[in-house]
This record gives sequence, structure tokens and C-alpha cells, in this order.
Amino acid sequence: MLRFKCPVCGLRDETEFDYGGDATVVRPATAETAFEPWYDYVFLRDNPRGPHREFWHHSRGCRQWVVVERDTLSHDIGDVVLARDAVKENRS
Amino acid sequence: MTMQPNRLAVGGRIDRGTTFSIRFNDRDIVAHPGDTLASALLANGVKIVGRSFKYHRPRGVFSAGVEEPNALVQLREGARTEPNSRATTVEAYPGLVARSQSGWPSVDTDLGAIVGAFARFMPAGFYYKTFIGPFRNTRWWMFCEHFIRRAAGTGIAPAAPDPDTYEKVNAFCDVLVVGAGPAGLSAALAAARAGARVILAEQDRDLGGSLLDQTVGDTWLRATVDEVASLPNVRILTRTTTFGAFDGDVYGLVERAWDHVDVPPPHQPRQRYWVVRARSAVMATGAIERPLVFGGNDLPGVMSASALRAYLNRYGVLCGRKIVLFTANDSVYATAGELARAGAAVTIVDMRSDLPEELRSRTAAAKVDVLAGFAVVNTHGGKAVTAVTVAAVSGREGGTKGPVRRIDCDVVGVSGGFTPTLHLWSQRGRKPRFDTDKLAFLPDGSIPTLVCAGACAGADTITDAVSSGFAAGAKAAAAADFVGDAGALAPPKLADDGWQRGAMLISAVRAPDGEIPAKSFFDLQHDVKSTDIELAHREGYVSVEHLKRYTTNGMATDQGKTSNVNALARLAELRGSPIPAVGTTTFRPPYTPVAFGAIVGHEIGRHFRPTRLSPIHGWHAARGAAFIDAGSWSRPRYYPVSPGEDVQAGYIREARHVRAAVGLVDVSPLGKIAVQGPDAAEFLDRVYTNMFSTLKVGRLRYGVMLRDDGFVFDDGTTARLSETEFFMSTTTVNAGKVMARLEFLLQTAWSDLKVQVTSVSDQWATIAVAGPKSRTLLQATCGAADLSAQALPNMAFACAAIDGVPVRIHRMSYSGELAFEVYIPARYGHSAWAELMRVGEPFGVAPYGTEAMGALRIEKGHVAGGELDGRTTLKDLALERFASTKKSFAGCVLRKRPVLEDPTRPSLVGLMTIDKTVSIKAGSLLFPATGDIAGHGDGHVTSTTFSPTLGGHIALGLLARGPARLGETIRCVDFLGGTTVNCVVTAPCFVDPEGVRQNA
Amino acid sequence: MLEFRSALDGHLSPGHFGAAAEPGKLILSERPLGALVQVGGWRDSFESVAAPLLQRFGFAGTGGFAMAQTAGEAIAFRTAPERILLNFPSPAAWEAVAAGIDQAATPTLDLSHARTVVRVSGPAAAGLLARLLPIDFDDAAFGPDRFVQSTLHSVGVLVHRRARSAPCVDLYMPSSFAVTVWEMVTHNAASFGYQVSGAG
Repeated sequence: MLRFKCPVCGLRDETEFDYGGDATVVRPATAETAFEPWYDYVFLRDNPRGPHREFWHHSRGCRQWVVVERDTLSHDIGDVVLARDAVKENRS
Repeated sequence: MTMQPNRLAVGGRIDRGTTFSIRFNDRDIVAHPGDTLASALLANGVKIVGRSFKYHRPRGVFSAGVEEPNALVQLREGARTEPNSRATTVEAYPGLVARSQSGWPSVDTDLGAIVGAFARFMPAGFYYKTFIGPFRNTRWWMFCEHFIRRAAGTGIAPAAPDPDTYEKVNAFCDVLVVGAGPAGLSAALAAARAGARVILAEQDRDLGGSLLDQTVGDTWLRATVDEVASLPNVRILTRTTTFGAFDGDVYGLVERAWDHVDVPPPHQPRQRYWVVRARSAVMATGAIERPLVFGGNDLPGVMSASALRAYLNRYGVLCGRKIVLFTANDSVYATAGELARAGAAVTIVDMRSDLPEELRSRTAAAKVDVLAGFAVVNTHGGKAVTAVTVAAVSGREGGTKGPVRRIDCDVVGVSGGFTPTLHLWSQRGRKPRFDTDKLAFLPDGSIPTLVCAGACAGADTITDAVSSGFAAGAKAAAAADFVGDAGALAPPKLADDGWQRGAMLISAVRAPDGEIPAKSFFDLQHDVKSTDIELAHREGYVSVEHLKRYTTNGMATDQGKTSNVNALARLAELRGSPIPAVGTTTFRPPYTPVAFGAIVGHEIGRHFRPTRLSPIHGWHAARGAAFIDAGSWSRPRYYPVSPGEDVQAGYIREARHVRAAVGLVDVSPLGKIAVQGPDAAEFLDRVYTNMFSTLKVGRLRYGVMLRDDGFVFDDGTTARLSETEFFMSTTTVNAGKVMARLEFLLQTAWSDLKVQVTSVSDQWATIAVAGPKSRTLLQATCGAADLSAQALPNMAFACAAIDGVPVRIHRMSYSGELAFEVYIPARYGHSAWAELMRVGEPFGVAPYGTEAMGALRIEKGHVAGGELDGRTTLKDLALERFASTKKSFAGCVLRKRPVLEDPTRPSLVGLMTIDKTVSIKAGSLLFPATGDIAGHGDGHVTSTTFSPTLGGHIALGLLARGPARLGETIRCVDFLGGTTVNCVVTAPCFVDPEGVRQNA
Repeated sequence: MLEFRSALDGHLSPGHFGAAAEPGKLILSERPLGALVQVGGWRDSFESVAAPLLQRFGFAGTGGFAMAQTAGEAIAFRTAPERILLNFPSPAAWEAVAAGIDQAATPTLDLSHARTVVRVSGPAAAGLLARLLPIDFDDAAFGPDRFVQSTLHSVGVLVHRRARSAPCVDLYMPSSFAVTVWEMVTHNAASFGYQVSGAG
């Protein structure tokens, strides 16, 4: 079982969280009307072997979304930070 | 009481003062407290315990522990029966009942043994070749499967529900120590002395490990156990197997809390599943003795040499009177002396010719014969061993030369060396290395939070085990930041030959003719012979993982604890590669079988998952509602007016009543989300396809959300409570998903928006009041409020009170009738409903359930779960008008993908049967009136009902070019039921399309 | 006035259940809720706006994520970075202040009906809770005033250790799940033996 150190709640079991997908993709700005950036954001994933960043939702805890560094090979968990501190909308 | 022919008068750790009876295969067996089922059977002279899986060969007890491949029994009877129980670990208790799992008519006379004569027709890969090949899914396959399942020696699963309870416990510790032998006890002591919170888990009933099988070392054991037990920071779990090591330093343990009795005491769980989060752990899991492979090595009486020692010293059982010990290492010499002292005639057959003088003089003193440089080639005997043939060792490993000698015996103790128990370490994703010095797989590299100690780490002697355990305990404590002084620990004073000294590893013994005898078994439980491994190799299955699957070596309930190393040594020999190049198979949890019951604990039956109940549930139950599971909710499906009224009659009656008078339906399960903050309107503009910033305070608006990929996600009605606060409703099923998505957007890309979302689903009871008399009823219930069409138009809300409790009344309609949703603080919901029923009596108010609610909405053509299936677009559902062109919203770009704009995509239509007496099945495929019925058709039926208004069956469906096909006759084909129904395509809204009724 | 009905109405009958046990070993009861209110806010201003608001009720400030604050009978849980849950056994204390709060700066939300509170007390409380939640309930890790938000039977609950000498823990659960959680609590309590009491 994976265990994550939630920045709000401390070290908790995976059973308190829901997986929320790849955290390395950047959401296009809401006003973005081009097709390609949305296609990339929704469908294209790298599936790396090794270190990776993922969204997890502490849905049965503080309800914060967090970004977890996880090694897809060893399952080693690195830094866990609040998603709001790690993610910015693509405003370019 | 019958005699116990093999029980010694003295010795062992059993209580001879107490005698009780157990039953095995309808025979009374005498036992004492401290016995296992196996030790009692051996004491009573029972040789044959089961028949083998494939060839039905007689098999007896082989080991004294969890590795047992042969003595698997059906334990207990009735609902508490448990298959594949290892007699060697089943504690004897008064009244225990066990049976052999195979053998007909009995294990002693098994007609299935005739299969043995046809053994050459069931080679390795037999199953694959027969059933994956051309015979798959044929009658022949069915026939064979039936035969094989019956013939195979596996136990019977209980047919009745398990009457016992199980529980799950979450535990936390600084150091988990697995195994309480010399190494584990020492580790626990060191870690606890350093101040760490320790859990010491031992699968046996008693602490001590291999020391329990010896006569010396008790003083050390008692003192160490006493100190460990006295420390307040140590929790000792006996009868507890650590079966899995998982990510995050989490371990799965099963405690057989009350498995050692027939029926657990009242309210006590039979087993307890411990989920241990350990900051670090010590694995002191010991080693398992490996058999030697030779002809007829599976006969009853052929046993692990260390088991002979355990039965002698722990259980006071001398397994034979004339014992041959066959070995290639030093470990049996102490055992030989002890067996001889107990009265057995002992001959050691040692494959090594150069024996140390010390061993020779010791055996001479103990009157033990030694044949150095000899090997056992074959056994003799029908149902039990009566003699062995030995020959001198010659040439390459395992080879012998003539002449052969015959030695009479009743027991053969074998020791091919020891295999460290690396399962837990390996489960953490590690591959062990083969140590050519110790001739064993050992842990390779370190896991910072998992330290191996004792025999499983390669410690040869008990002295080494104690010192390595003590050091490991201190190291594990330090890894958990406990660095207190642990002091020192002296090892027990005992002579110790070590388990691997001078060992050699032989895959199988060859007869003087150079061949490995035909009945040389590698995997005793799955009847895998040398010829099977040779065949697998010849057919190209040369990786250990393939060998395992092809021969099934190591795939039985024992997972090859005694067979794997010998089998891979044989494969290495065939490949001409050294063992390290061949490697070993992957270890996966569980270490030993675990009951499902233990894992699920109390989460069974009705509590398999949580059930949500509306605040009004008690009223529905008292009224005798028939309930249905809707997502996690239990909701009234309909309210039978008489015991015989079925759901069909019930919902038609209820729906008809709503259109004629007034009905109440409990819609509390709707998802409800408070959206608060200065940017709330902007936020809703982004998540809904339509505009919400223009919504006036006091008004409601229907909204649709898309996923980012452009498909419809959810819909619902949202009220604007103030400039900065909205009250959103979602579908019942998607409530959690919508909430999570809103939080995701606000905490990631849109964290600059000042908006907070909070679920208020549990705060409010919601009652929909629908029907032409709904306004009259509500007006009569909340007197003061003005609910007239002018004051409260459709899609507006008003604040009111019911008997002093403030409520909010949303005027909106799902049924198409004049209707309202009343929001009541949850704890008043029950009595508000009761009040509406009371006040509504003169107006003929009646409750209705989800089934009638569904019928009414299908009549109106509203989309719900069947249509919002994650594969439909706004356009498919005729909701395109809700897509704002004045703003961007989530999903607005990808919904325009060409594939989603394809005009031939199935889109929403109504369907009405031509024959009003026949119904349509949801999920039916749609085909034109003529032509072949082939492929996936032109679409499918999403929701169906009987329409009380139209007096016939109707449905909603998704039909290619649907809106252009109104009036066309199409066929609805239900492939599962094998029926075809002719329908006319209509507009989705069947009743009052102008909305006159709901706007009244 | 309409009748006020707990989600657990009809599910708690006083008496001893499960295994035989000495009185007081494990006591389960429902606690009434007065006003349960959520105070929210925004990253850039929460501390400066919410802290004075909390001080008006006697709390030291916004508090931390691990320890509940108490002020008289009132309790404050910092449940998320900009989110505090306030429990007022006497709603009057809250109502006196509520109307004057700037909703744009610190949006408040009434959750009084959304939660149901079950109290677990007695020396066996920690053992029972270990069977229900994946949390370390050892005294050293979960002492007086400590609170956690975690999962019980897949339901999100808030667990609060009351500042008393005897172990006493309140479970705040979503009201619609109260019956299913209560049944899971009692099934696990049976092996200890437990007493259901009208008041904790």
C-alpha cells in the first residue's frame, strides 16, 4: 500500500486518496480555442519508467489535491505538495 | 482410548497429563495439548494422510511446518469446513474432525491410483495442450474438466455461509519483527531495549522457532522470552503469519486468534487481519529444509530430517524404529544421535565421502551407522517405505555406481540443505542472489527499512542467528530513529553443527545406469517429476518462470517451498548453466494461504460497502416501501398498497396519480454543492456549458457540464442564493465525481479564483412535490409564503417555513407537472414529509418511488443515467442549445472534434411500440424495419417504461440521424432475450411538449 | 415546530451488547450537535480575516491541522488550509455573530444537519478505533485535543480526541452514512463488549 505525506494531514494510507492522473501535463487556458493544446492535455501521456508526478486527491481527509512524486518502477514516494502550490494554468 | 504406538513415554513439550480424542477419516486419534494434527497422527501410527494430486499415490506427513506439501486435510465439517489445511500447522483440540481430501473409496484403497499406470499420458503441459488447443470450449473439454476437477486432490469449499466473524486491525509500530526464533527474539529485544515500539509476530503457537525442536537452549529461550514479554513497548502476536510485505512499509498479518478451537467463544473473531505500518522491520523468517530427490521419494515414511527432530523433541513422537537419514550436509548428525538415544536404529547415508573425524566419532559413540559416499537411489514399499536401495556415489553430481545395497527401514529422513525463507524480502520487488558458498539464495542488496537476520540472511548457527538478530534489531530501531543503548545478549549454550556446513546441492540422484528413476518427485503436492522438467526443457520452456507454469512446479498451495530450488537446479543442469544464471521465480503474497474472510473482516453481506440513507428513510420503511440500491443509496422503489402489488403495477399507479393529483418523492440523494465566493459566477461559467453569471438572485437554471474531452459529464439545476453564493445540484450518481472535479479545477489551474465548494448533500432533505395539486398542498403546508405563479414562476425559488422550520422551495419540474422541490434541514426532513402527507390527505397526496419518477421523466424525454453514459455529446442529447457561444467553458474545444460532429452519430429520439402490449428492453439495438440484422445497428435503447399517460410502452434511445427519422418504423432487437419489437420513432418528449402543465 | 430527528433515531438502544465486559470498558453514545459551521476564506487574506473572527469566540487564532482548539464549550478544527469547522454546543454564541460576517471575505456555511456525532469512550476506545480507521490511536500519537480526518468503512469522518483523562473520542460522520457507520462500529465493538448509553 502506498502511503503519502499529505501536507495538511501527515502520513496517510492510500485508501484515503483517489488517484487523479498525470500531474506533468499543463491545462490550457480556458480561453484557448486551438485544438492541439487541448488534445495534448487530454490525451497525450508519457508513461515514464522511473520518477513521475501524479495528482492524488485526499478525498477522505482534508479534500486537498496534492502532487505526488512517485517512482513508477520502485513505488518510492518522494515529495508531496499541495497541487495549488505546484500547478499553474498555462496562461501563455 | 487406543494406543499411541509412536509416542514416547517422556520428552517433548506436550501435556501428557491431558488426553483427548480427535477424528481423522472416521477413526479416533488420541492427542495431547501441544500436539498438531500431524504429530497426533504420527504418534498414532497413521502413515497415509492423503493421495497425491495427479497420480493418486499414497502420501504421508513430510514436514513439521508451513512448508508441508503432502498432509493437506479437509478440516472441520459443515459451514466451518476448511480445505487444504496443513496437518502440520493445525493445532489439535478436543473434537477436531479432519478428513483426507482425496482418495476414493478411501485413502488406503484409492481406485484413482490407476491413473498412475497411465502416467505417461499426462505429461507436463497436459492441461495447456488439451484445453488451450483445438479442444477448447468443446464438449470434450467440459467432460475432461469435470473428470479432472473431481479426480484432482483438492479440498471442498464450504457450501454454507461462514458462521464466524473476522476482524481487521490497523496497527502502527517502529519495528516489526517477523519470526520469533533465536534471531527474531534477539532482534525484538534489541529494538525494544533501544526504546522502539515493537510488534513481534510469530506464526507458531509458541515463541522459540527452531529452539522448540531441540532439547537444549531452553534456559536461554525462557529468559529471553520473559524479558521481551515484560517490556511495555512490545506487542507479541503468536499464531500470526506475516503473509505479505507491501509498498510503504506496510505488512499484512493474519492472526489465527480462535482457529485452535472448533467454535470461537461468543463475539470473538476466528481470525484477525493486521495491517501493520512499520517504520522499519526485521525479517527473521528462518530457513526451510530441502528434500533430496530420488526414486520413490514420495512414499509415506520419507520425511524431512528436521521434521523427525521436531516430532521427537517437541511432540515426543518417534516416527520410526529403523531410520535411514539421507543427507549431503552436517545438520542431520545431531538428529541422528537424538533418534538413536530415543531407541531407533539409525543409519546415515551421506553423499559426501570425506567426513570430518569429529562427525565419525560422534556417530560411533551414539551407535549410529554411517555410509559415507553413498546415496539412496530408490525406496521400496507399497503404501509406506519398507526399505531403501543405496549405491556408492560416482562421477558427476548425483551419479552412483553399482553394486546396490538394500537397507530395511520404516522411515527415511532427508536433508538436501536449507533454503532461506526470503519471501517477504523478495515481495518488496527484489531478486535474491545465489550464494555459491552457502548454496542458497540470499538477500541481495539492502532495503533501508527491512533488515534480514538469522538463517534467512545466511546465518549458519544459532549463535550466529542470535548475534545477527540482535544487530538487526538495533539497526532497525536506528532506522526508526531509536538509538538507545540495547546492551548485549549472550547466545544460548549449545553444540551446533549449523545447517549448511559442508553442504552440496544435488538436483536428483541417478541410478547406477545413469538415469534418474521414473518416480523421482520434485514437487510432491503437484506430482512434478524429473521427466516433466526434462520435457519442459525439451519443448523450450527454459526460463524458470516458464518452467513453473508449464510443469506447475511450485504452483500448489505450498508455492514450492520444498520444491523450487531442486527443480531449478535440475533445469540449470539441463541447460548447462550455473544456478545463478537460471535464477529463481518471483515471490508474491501471500506467504501461506489466507482466508478471504480475514481480509474482508466485517465488510461483508449488507456491509460489503457503505449504504447511504435519506433522512426520511424511516418513514419509507415504516410505510413498507420496496427499496432499491441506487449507487450507494438505498431508495424507495415504490410503495406497495397491498402485499401482492408488484413493481410494475406499483409504479404505473404512482405515476398516474402524480399526473392526476399530487405525489411526493424523496430526492434527498441528489448531489448538493455550495459554491461560495466572489468569483463563484465566473467559476460556474467555466464549468457549465451555459451562462450562470447572468442568473438573477432568487432564480434557478438548468446546467450541463462537459468533460474536457467534450462528452457530457453531468447535469443539474443550480440556484443563485446571493451575488456570491450558488446552490448546485448534481445527479445522484455523479455527486462525488462532480465535487472532486470542481475541487481539482479550483486547486490546480484555477487556483486564482476566489471560490470554495463544499458538499451539502447531507445538510438537506429534499422532497419533490409534483402534480396539479402540488401548489395547493404546499400553500396549505407553508401558509405564509406566496407560491402563486406570479410570485414564484417556474425556475425560481422562495424561502418559506413548515411549522416554524425555515425551508427553501425551488419551483422546477422533472415530471412535467406543476412541481416544487422543498429543501429542509436534514433532521427535520422526516417530520416535514410526514407533515406534507398529513396536510395533503384531503388532496389525495401519495408517495412515489424511483420507478414512477423514472417513468414520468421518460415521458418528458429528460435525459438521465441511461443517456448520460459518458459517451454522449450535447448534440447527441439534443442539448446543443445549452452550449453558450459567448464564452469558453470546459470541453468547448474538444466537443467540436470532427468525430463528435459527425451527423450520423446516434442522437436522442423517443420510441413507441406499435403493439402496445409489448415492452422494450433497455440496451436493445436499433435496426431499420427491413434488411439483415447484423453488426451494431443504428443505435440502442437507453431507457424504457410503460407510459401511463399514453397507455403503451415507450423508450428513449440513441438513433443514427434520429431527428430525421421521426415516424419511421424500426426494430428494437434484444439479443440477450432473443426478442424483436417494432417501434415508431418519435420526438423524445411524449407528454405536454409545450410545457403547459409545468408552467401552470 | 417539526420534530427534530437524528439520523440514528431508532438505532441506539441503551444496554450492554457483545462480549461480557466490565462496566465502562467501552461506551458508545450519540452526541447532540448545536451549530456546526464552516468558515472559509482565501489564501491571501485568510489569516488576517479569519483569525480575528475566531478570536471573537475566544479561540487563539486559526490553529493548526493536528490539534483542535477549544474555547469554553466551542471547538474549532482547522480542516484545510483556508477552512475551519466550528462546533457550538449552544448555537446562540454563533448566531450572535453570524449575521455580521462579510461573506465575500469569509464565506460561512451551516453544516449542523450534515454531520452526526458518535462518541466512543472507555479504556477499549483505542482498540476499537484501530479496527475502524487507518490511524495510529496510541496515546503518544493521538493524545487529548488531537483530531484527524480519515476514512471509516470508506466514509470520510473527523475523529476528535476530547481533552479528558479517560479516553473519549467523537466521530463526526456525514449524516446519510450514520447508520452504516454505526453498524460497522458496533460490529467491531462486539468482541470487546460495549454499552450503549443515552449520553456520553
